[in-house]
Amino acid sequence: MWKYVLKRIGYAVITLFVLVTLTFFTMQLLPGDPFTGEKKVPEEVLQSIKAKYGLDKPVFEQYVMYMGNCLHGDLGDSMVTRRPVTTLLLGSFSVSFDLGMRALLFAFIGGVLLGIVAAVKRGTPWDTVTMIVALVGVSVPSFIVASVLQLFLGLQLPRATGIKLFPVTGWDGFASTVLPTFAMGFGSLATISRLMRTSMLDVLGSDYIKTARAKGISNKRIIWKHAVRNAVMPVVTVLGPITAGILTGGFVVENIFAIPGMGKYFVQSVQQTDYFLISGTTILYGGLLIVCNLAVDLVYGFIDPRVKLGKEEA
Amino acid sequence: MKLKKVLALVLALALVCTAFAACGSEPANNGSSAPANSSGAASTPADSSAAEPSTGAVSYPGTPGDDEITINFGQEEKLNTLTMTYSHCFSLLKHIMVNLVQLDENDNVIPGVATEWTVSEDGLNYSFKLRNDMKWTNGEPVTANDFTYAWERLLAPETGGNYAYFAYIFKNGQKYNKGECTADELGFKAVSDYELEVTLESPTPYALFTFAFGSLAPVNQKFYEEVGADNYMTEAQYFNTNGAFNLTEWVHDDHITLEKNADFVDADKVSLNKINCKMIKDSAAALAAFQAGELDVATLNAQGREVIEAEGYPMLHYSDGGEFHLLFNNENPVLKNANIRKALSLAFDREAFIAAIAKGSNEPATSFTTGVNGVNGNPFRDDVAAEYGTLFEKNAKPEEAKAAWEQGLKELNMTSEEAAKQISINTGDSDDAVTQGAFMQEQFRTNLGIEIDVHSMATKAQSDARDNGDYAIDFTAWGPDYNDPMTFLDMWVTGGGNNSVKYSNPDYDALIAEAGSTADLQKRQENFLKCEKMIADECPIAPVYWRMRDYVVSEKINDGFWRTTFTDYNFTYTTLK
Repeated sequence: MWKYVLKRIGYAVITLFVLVTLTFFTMQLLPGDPFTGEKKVPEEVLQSIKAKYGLDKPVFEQYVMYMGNCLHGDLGDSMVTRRPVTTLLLGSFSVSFDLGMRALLFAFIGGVLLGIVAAVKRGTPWDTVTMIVALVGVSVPSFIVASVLQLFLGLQLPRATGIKLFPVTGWDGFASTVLPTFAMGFGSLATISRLMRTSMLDVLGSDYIKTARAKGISNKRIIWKHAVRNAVMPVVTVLGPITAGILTGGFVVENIFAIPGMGKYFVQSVQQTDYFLISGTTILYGGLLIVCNLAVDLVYGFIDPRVKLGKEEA
Repeated sequence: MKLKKVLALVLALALVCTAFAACGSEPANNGSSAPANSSGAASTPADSSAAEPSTGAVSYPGTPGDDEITINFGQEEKLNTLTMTYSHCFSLLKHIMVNLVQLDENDNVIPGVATEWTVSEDGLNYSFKLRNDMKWTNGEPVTANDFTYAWERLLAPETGGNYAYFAYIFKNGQKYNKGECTADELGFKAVSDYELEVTLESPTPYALFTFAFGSLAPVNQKFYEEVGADNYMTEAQYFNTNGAFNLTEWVHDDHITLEKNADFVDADKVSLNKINCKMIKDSAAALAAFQAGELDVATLNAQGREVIEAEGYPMLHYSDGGEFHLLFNNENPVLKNANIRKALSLAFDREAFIAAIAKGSNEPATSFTTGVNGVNGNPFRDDVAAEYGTLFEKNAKPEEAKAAWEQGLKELNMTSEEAAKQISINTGDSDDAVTQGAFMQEQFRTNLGIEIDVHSMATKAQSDARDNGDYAIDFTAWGPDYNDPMTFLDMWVTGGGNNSVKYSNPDYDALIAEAGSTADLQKRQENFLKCEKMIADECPIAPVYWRMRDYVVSEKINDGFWRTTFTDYNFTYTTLK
């Protein structure tokens, strides 16, 4: 297994390298540069700013310099805020990570529970209600959920009752995390619950469950001990990409609640042609995606003993 | 197996790409991120003192705390005085830093660190007397050296200051920036700790105004060298200031806290103990925060304005000096013709544009320059109106437009279809920009009977196309850098850096050149007026509207703050109820 993990890490490094290289050269094709704006600055001023970031050198030389710095953990300075990209990303990532973990837990636990309920109570109003919730979750985009929550729970509720439960903006204290967590996790919760329901139904109809029932094992025990463990596999599979997406922050939700996360950098860096920030966000997101997928593969092994990691290589 | 790996790699790449492509729309501009220092003096103090709440049903008591307020700073940007460029940053700076001179609530120059000054007859030499009781946060006295050091650093190429060219007003400023002379040839000198002498490159009527500008703020040499150029003013502990407030906390992308500086020379006039500056970029979110009592001030966009209007809560306005115009590429095979350009300008209904698109308190631009004063201290645009009346019509004039169009076609020897094919409109890709493009298209269709294509593109691509002259019609804005018509009018001189329409008229160039060198202020004004007329006659551009900002303040705030063309906001002397 360790051999397998090492091999995967090796691939990950190569993937990252290719990713950064491609990003570095393609972003040179973006029109304009970080310093084009509405107002022109004199040529000599522009030159000295460019020289400060090494942009006066040939692209290939810039690339070699950048890669060298990357190996030392230096991702360069943002050309817009002039702060180091690593500081910028780590600071905002910690916020996005915090929000993301909450949203992920909410989505996973809520989604799995809803899925189980819907499957076990199949055909009853329980099933209908949970699946309507799931349908709403899948089809309503997060920015609408966020705005609606902000309007009704943040603004109208205190106006009507005088009780202020949730602040409308900011990231300070538990109360401020509730609405964003819900807005952020709701879509994934819906996806997970639908997936869980289907897979649970599949499992419940399988032979070994019938055998268990025939042996007189209690329904509760069948569901929790025998069915869920198998049914959760497909959910774990989608968890990898969902995690990477949620952890790096939802641009829209963070924007609406004014949360200082990193979601905005994905958009801003490109809009402002902030070269080092573009490649910085790419490295972080790419790296995270690779780590998440690896983690999911490893988790398989624990949940399903039949999955033997690295067997084909051994 | 190999295929699977390749596939995985491609998938990973595709995911990253989608992450970038996912969000195309720009966050709503909440008012303070116009590039460059906007300035001007069109707003009256009555604007800001009119903060009396109505007796309507809605009430916004504001944030808790009886000696602090919470304002919205908007998008985080760099705050280093030597490199910063955004007007909302310069406004924040006014709370923590005092320049040689400063601006009052009418954008007039009043003493700052300098208590008095004399100007030589030729307008080239200034000598300042500095107050001797001012201290930096680190305890050092504020001296003349803090200014000469700051200005030298601003001009030094290695600083990479975007606004270094503001210091080109000093003798040899540009030469030093290009590395063509040494620091002791620069046109400023500390005669003693509290005496400063300045020599200008050429007579500059707005020189004092420039000394109040944030890029020319003092820098304490000892502190700057201690923390290093790369750290200076990037974190709360790297701030060393001399103003009414100290920046005590900066949680990046979240908030900045300003606390009263008890050692400030005018501390007894400052009644606030704390100003919390939140960083909410989205206008809708800022309005929601205002309504929820988390903000005391909120700038409104068109939707926000409608909400507040419906609630009947009092709104305030100020002119930020923004002027929006259509750029006509004067090198375009069709738009090179003045009659064609005039036809397009006449076919454009400015009032309808404001009613349908720009909304708010915006005003139709009947001439070009706005937000700055003429020689007599009146708004220059009023001087223009007094001299020529309405230079650009508020409403479309389809008949006159068609006549000019036909005349232009005759001169070009083209059919209407042939001409229209050569013209297209570039707009940004935000929702607003796309609507603007559609509106213009419709105007030219209805009033001129021509079909023009609209190209929507990313902001950077748009400005790139503009810089390369690779466009026909573009819609853009300008804001004043200093309180003088020159900041608008010198844009259209032949070869000017911001002359993206490539307009070229020797008469216009001569008028600007003369205005730039003469010490006769009346003559200057005359030239500026003539330039305005020339713009109206030849239409290198078509002004569309002058921007007004709408905003609300909570009932907690009494008075003592101002928002004007050259001061986005100043809450230093705010009093609470």
